[in-house]
Amino acid sequence: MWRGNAYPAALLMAGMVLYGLWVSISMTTSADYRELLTDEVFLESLAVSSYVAIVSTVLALIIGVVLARLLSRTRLAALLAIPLFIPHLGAAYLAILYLSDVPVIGPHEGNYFSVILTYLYKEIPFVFFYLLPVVRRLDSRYQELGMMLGLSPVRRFWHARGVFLLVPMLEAAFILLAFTLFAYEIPALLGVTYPKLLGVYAFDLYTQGDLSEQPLAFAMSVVLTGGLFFLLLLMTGLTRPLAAKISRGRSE
Amino acid sequence: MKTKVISFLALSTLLAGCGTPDATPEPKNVLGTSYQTIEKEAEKSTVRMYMWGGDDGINAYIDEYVAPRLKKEHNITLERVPIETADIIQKLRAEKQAGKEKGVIDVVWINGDNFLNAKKDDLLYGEITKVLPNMKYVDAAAQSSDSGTKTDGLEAAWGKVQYTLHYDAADVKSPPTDLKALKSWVKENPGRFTYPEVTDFTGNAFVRHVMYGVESNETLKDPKADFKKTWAYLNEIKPYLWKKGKTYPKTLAQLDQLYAKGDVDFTMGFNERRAEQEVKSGTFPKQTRPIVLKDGSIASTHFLSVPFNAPNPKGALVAINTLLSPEAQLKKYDATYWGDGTSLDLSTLDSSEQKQFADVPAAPSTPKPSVFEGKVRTELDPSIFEMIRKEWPSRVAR
Repeated sequence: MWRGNAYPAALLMAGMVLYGLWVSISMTTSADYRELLTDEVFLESLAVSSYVAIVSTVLALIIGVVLARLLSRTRLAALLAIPLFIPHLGAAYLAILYLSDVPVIGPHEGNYFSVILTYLYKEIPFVFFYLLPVVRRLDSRYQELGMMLGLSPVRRFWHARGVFLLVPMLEAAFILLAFTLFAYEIPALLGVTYPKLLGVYAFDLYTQGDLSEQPLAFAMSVVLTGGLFFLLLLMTGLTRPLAAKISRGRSE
Repeated sequence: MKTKVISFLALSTLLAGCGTPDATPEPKNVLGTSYQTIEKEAEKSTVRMYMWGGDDGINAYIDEYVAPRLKKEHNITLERVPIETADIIQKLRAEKQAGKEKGVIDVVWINGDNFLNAKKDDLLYGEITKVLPNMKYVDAAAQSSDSGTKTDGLEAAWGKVQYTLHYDAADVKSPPTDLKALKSWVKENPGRFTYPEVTDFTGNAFVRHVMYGVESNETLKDPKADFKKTWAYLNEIKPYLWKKGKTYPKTLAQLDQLYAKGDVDFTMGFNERRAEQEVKSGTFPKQTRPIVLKDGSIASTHFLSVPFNAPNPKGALVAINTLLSPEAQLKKYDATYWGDGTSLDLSTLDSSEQKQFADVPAAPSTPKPSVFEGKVRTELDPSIFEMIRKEWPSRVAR
């Protein structure tokens, strides 16, 4: 296994994000943020994007972790790698090919089911392989110990499995949420004209017409990056004590 | 040690983007020299033409006709780079902001909003039309303005087209001839008609056609007016559109796909001859026929230009001049490759050339030139395009 130093990559990524953020902030004034936050088209887009992102993330997490439990020691695990090799754009075209004539679910439906399904197709394998090493290391003796100590099933699950899975699951959830909230290809191909998902709406604002709307697109990226950063802080703040306890070998 | 090397590489990659331009730019006085000098000095150079690449016929015209001709006549190598025009403008804006004096684009195919933005941000080379000998053939009216924006010689008219609707005569027995009839047809045939959303060039123009049909002349002159009748018309047909008007094709290409699959009975677009290629290749139904609505058809001109930081402006000028020659325009007009309306004023050509244009056969999907008489409309004020983009989502799409 590669055990190189992650700092250069982290530095590069952080540099790119911070530079992007700095450019976006320098392109906007406070009036742009006011306009954005009172823009009903944006608010509706934010609402429907959150719905798509949360539903697809939660479902991908649940299905991904259940599959990891069921398939961790079987050869079927390799099958799940297939969707990983298909880009999101390709997955969207598959959806157009196979879902087009399905009522309610098909592309260009206001409920965005085809978008969510396409995300699930791509993200369940991601969750699966992200959690597979953790699931494989789960020690069944904790379960037995819990049984011996007479813990309720819920507490037994928490102490034997949940506590080890929580942090990696939250990490995976954050990555998925950040990605699906602002992605472009899938909603551009499968989405509806109104309300548009955030990625498509931002792209339109950025490229259309006389470009006078560009500051709004920049303001949008600042607001979303800020929101996600806040979420990240909240998450690490809440899970750090737990992570520290696990590394010391205790969960209570 | 390894870590340090990697960090250094990462850092230098970051910094590489901030470097100074690598070579000295071409002198800006190219436009002050004679075309003969430019033509001579452009020999053996490479010209990179950035243009929308979504049409096979157009691409074949450049690759199979224009590039070999430039090679033979001027020993110029033409490289076609397919890209969305809006992306080109973004790229040029970024290069301008970064002070990049030497770019990669020599010729750009442009019109409408993209030209307006390029002109406003000073992204074009200069008054290129004054050095091009073949400008003497170009239709002065088409050349003077681009979707309502004065060209000021920054770009040269390459083609002129008329907005035309196409329908499948196998399904539509009595095609509508004006907007009122179109409305009735849409209501009687739910799900069989739609138009691209207004961020699309063609979709936006469809709305402007509705404006020409239902609004008064005073309203049309006032971009600040409330185009109530237009929104009412669009909302009235909305429930009867494809997917009940809950969504619209995002681009003209998507509408064409729906039409080709038989999901809808109409498609539309700037260029009265554009269906010929598609019918021939079997993409569009055989029975595709044109409609030019009585309410009018907007004429649109598209142009060629040179970016401010073109690495080979001389080669670019020679390429553009060649594209404006009567022979190249005739080849473009012929539907073998493209079937694009000419930007030339045919009365400036000699009689044998005029005859060649007149003799180009037209397929049944192309309207006869006489059909446009009295129906040609000029483009509305450019701020109306923007107004449609801003208002339509909440007034109609919502």
